[in-house]
Amino acid sequence: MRMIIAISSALLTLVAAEVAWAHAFLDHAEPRVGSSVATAPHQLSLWFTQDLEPAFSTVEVQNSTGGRVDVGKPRIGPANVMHVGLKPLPPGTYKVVWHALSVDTHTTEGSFSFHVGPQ
Amino acid sequence: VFEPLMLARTAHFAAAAMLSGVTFFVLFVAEPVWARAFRGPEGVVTTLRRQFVRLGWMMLALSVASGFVWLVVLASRLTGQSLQAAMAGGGVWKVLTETRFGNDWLVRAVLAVLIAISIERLEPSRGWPSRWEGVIAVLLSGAFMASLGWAGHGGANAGPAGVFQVGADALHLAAAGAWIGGLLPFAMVMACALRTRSEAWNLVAADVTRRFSTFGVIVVGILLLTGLSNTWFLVGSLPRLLGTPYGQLLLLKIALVIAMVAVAAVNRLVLTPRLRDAAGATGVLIRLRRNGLIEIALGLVILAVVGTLGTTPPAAHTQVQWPFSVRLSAEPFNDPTSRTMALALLAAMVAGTTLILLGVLEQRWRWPLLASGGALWLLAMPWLRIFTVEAYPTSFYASPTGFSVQSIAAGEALFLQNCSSCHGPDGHGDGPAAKDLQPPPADLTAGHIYAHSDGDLFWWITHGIGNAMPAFGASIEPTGRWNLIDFIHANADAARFGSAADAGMANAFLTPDFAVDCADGSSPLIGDLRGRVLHLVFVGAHWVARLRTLEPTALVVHPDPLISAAGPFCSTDDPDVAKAFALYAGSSVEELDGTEFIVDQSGSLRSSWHPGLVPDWTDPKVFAEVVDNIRRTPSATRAVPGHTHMH
Repeated sequence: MRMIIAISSALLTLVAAEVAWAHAFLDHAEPRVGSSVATAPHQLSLWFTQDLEPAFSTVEVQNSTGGRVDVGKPRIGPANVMHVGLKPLPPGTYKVVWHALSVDTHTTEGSFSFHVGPQ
Repeated sequence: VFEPLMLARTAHFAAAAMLSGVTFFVLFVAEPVWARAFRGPEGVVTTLRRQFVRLGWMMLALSVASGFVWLVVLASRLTGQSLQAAMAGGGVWKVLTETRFGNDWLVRAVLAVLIAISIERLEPSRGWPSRWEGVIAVLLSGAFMASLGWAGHGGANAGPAGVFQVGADALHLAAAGAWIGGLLPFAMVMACALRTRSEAWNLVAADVTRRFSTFGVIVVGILLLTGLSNTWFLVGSLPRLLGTPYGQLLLLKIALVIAMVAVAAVNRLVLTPRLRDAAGATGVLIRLRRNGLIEIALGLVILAVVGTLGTTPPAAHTQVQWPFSVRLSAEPFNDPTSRTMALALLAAMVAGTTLILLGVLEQRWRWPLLASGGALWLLAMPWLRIFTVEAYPTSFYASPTGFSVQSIAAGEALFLQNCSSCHGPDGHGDGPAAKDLQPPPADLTAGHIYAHSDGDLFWWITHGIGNAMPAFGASIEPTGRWNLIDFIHANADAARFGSAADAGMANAFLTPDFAVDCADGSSPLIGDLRGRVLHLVFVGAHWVARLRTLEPTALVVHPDPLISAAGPFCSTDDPDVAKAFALYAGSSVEELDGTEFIVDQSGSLRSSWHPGLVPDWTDPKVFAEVVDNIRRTPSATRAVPGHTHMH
């Protein structure tokens, strides 16, 4: 009997124990991924699925010629949201490249674009 | 592949587990036995005690070395510097001072120093340790193992749930470490009993086995509780367990632990009682020692699996590749024509299982019970197929689009290009090319569309269905296929919405998601506004006057951002919002001007109105009554199956 209890409890435990979120993925962004916005945003915000390490998480926003249009250091807070200021953006397509280190030391990276002005 | 980080992780886990296991074993298993059997100068015991302390020193040294390698390799990766540069150039320092991992490492370095002091107190040359010295050594080494939770995979989510999760993970680590780490000292005691071959030592071996397995039952209990809490917070699902590399590794780990528990149970239930018989004791001791070593080997493999799990993308963030050609379905319980059959089968399975379990436990009626239970299962077996439906590798794929107005609009455009010639412009299966097709194209607004998962639809669009439907995997990219699925769901919902809303039914039609800009500067998604009843108003040139009569909580969709920004309410000028909602209104985008919708507190689209309809929503009293009715009859949260929202 005790063996049955022990085995079934061990089974349940192990099903449970390791199903964890180990990487910070981009959940959503403002401006939205792939979106088209009429007016130029003043800042870019990225929401991640996990808390980030500010010291090792970066974001870059580039215009169509590759020039940097983000200003200042990215701010993180609450711990899973990253904000960065933007220069006044003329109409055009902008590329966002991000690198994230989650607090459990896994790195992830990704990129997307958004469009400012009429399509 | 030589992976230094994974190697360092595995070595560190193993060493920290051994370290805490040895101290746990000394305090809870060995010392109480020595106290009963051998207080006093006894050569063999002293040798054994010295060996335990030496093992502790070795594991502490290995922990510190592997922890240092882990830190330096990680710092070099994160800063992009070479190992030497990371050490000299401040990379290591930056990681130590500016990350949670680094802070954890600083705390654990202090713990390592304190552990060294506490181990030194356990040296046999310093006499018998006091109870407090033992407790402190156990707590320190347990904390050293548990604090790996802050550096590991678990608990990186924010809030109280995250704190709880880290706590459960820490306890899980401490318990697992104490168990796996206690195995080597256990095998050492068995080996010692085997060498000395005295009756007294046989009794010591029996006592140690009994205590260690009692300790093991407690540990397994802790593992169960911490594991359950983790499941509660992380929601692992069966498809994720079966259909992702992460889940499959986890299954491997479960199998290994079951094997470990089985070996431990044999030790306790079969072998320990036989130690009382002096004649057979030697054979039993050999088997106990061997079993201890088998458990150690299994434990080390488990640690290696854990190390791999830590570097595998977790199940929650990879698409599930369903490995079977069928999946389970509870649909027979919902369908009136099959409900009786389903309930009868369920009763047969429950009764059959109960009989078999009784047969296992009850000696006297064993065979009749087992036979009748087995017979019930055999009878039910051929019919169990009604609980399965055809499944595909993509059946449990989660849509990345989030049922947004953008994806619905994009899906509609793709539908008109690729699908409407057969399925018809409104999806009724009546397109111009449909009349020659055998079998005829499916009516995509019929009820069966709700029985298929998003992943099933994704498979059919990608690969086609037999000769009846062509494959679009090559011509439409994956995002486009998901957009199509969102459109198909919106279209099927829209076909029912008008009549359901007229009948005042509390159906759960998920509201297409979009962002609005609010007067306070925030820009929430509709999905973020759950808990409130939302009033959605489409205001074109003709209906600007309506703005003046609206409550500040209304959401306004207006083509001109200047006017929509004028009110205190939230607004948007996204043309995709009008495109998606025109489906539900059963009108063109142009005719939508003046149309209003109500979204209930669970995010379902509940009612619509347009100018000229009675009751007149522009009358504030009438409108308040409509909203009140909806608030008092909440809908189910979700009716369309398979939509997973990845917000």
